[in-house]
Amino acid sequence: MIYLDNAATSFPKPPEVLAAIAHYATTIGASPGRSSHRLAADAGRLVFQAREQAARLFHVNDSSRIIFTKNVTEALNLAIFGLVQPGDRVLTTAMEHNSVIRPLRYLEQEGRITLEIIPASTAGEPDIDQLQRRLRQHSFQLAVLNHGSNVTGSIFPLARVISLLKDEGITVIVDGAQTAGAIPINLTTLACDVFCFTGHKSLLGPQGTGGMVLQEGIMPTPLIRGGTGSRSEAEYQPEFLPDYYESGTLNTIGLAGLGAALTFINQTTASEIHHRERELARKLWQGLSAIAGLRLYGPAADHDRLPIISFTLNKLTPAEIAFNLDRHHKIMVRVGLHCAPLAHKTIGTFPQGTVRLAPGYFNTDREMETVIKAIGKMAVHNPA
Amino acid sequence: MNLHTYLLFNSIHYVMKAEELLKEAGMTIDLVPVPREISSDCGMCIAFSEQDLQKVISLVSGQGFPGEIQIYRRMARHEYQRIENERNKLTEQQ
Repeated sequence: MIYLDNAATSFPKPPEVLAAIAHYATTIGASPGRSSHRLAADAGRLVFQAREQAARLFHVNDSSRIIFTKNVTEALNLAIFGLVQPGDRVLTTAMEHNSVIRPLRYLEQEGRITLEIIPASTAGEPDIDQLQRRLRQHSFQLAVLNHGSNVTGSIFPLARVISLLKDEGITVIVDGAQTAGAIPINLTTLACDVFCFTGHKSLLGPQGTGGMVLQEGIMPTPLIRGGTGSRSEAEYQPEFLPDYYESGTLNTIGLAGLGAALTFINQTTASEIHHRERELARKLWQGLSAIAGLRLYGPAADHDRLPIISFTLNKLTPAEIAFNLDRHHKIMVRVGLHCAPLAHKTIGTFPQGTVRLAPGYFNTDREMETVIKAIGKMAVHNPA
Repeated sequence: MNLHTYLLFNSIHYVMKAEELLKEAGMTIDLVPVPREISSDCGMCIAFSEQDLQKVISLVSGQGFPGEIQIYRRMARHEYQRIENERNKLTEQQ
């Protein structure tokens, strides 16, 4: 079996992740931050260590600014709904995932915001000239930006874009779903206000984990309120971090796994992971580009990119290709629109979508060769 | 050693942070429930010996702990007294 759906959920996980989950389940089991017995303390320590490891990975000096959520979609919703003000003019790009577009379109539909979408090139890069033009025309209050595309694998020139937006005093939310864990990220230098991440993709943790990093002084309104284990005498939500945003018992078993995954990444380093994954992507890109009738999307292999490669092949539908790969070669890929219809409109593959190959850190060169061969065979059997 | 002085934070996050910091400094501390007389909070706090008071204050100062740090000493059963400390005066001045 060859699993190439790591952009949806990474698999397999480092063995340390499974060991940490089993350790929590068999020897701790209790609630963090609630009772004060020894197992509750152990659970509290475990959550604290996960936060510390996340802070280390993202170069954040105070781990209380790492807020855990169930995934990046929840973090993005928290950041967007918690920071938007009625009447705001909001900027986003034509490469966003539905986790960004749907909350923004909802706010627009409700008449609460005006939405401006910056177009992107067919390689999936936002048009900086267009962005500058819009910034001259209007004053914006909020921007929500992708850091890396789940369709094309392009990495956005965020540092440059954020500096343009910050010059105008715009609050910036970044969707790091595909980049967290996949490339080095320094949130001390990348001056976004909120950086959202998920645990189950390149951070190599379990599903049901994710979160956001708040820059100092940024306090969105919480999405939910309730028990935090702190200030129990108060009928109002405590307004300190991280409790302000973490009502209800946390996903401690998931965070046990995420903490171990973050430790693995910190030890391996994100730059080593990025380097290895780029090699796999380069191998795939080169092999696939030699296949007649196959069309590749996104930045070429020599660009700094994520290991996400989208393609179409002759008149075959993406679904037919994926079915063939799964049934005859045990190769698992994702097809269709990848929850990002706008991105597919941008690269010209809407509504049919593409086949997406997303290798991960644990895939081998040999597996890439097997995949290229299987797709090559399919191309021969299905000429244009 | 009698650990009858208590260091309190608003969030369990900072209790864990302080526990790690103080343990790494080789201090004898214990995690205990917050005494009911001090706060109705359901959380934990750090118990230490009053002879380590200055060392504890200096260790948790300037380490990114938020705002006010609360320290109490146990006077008698069910009786606790707040200990004012330099760190809080510094915070108030900011």
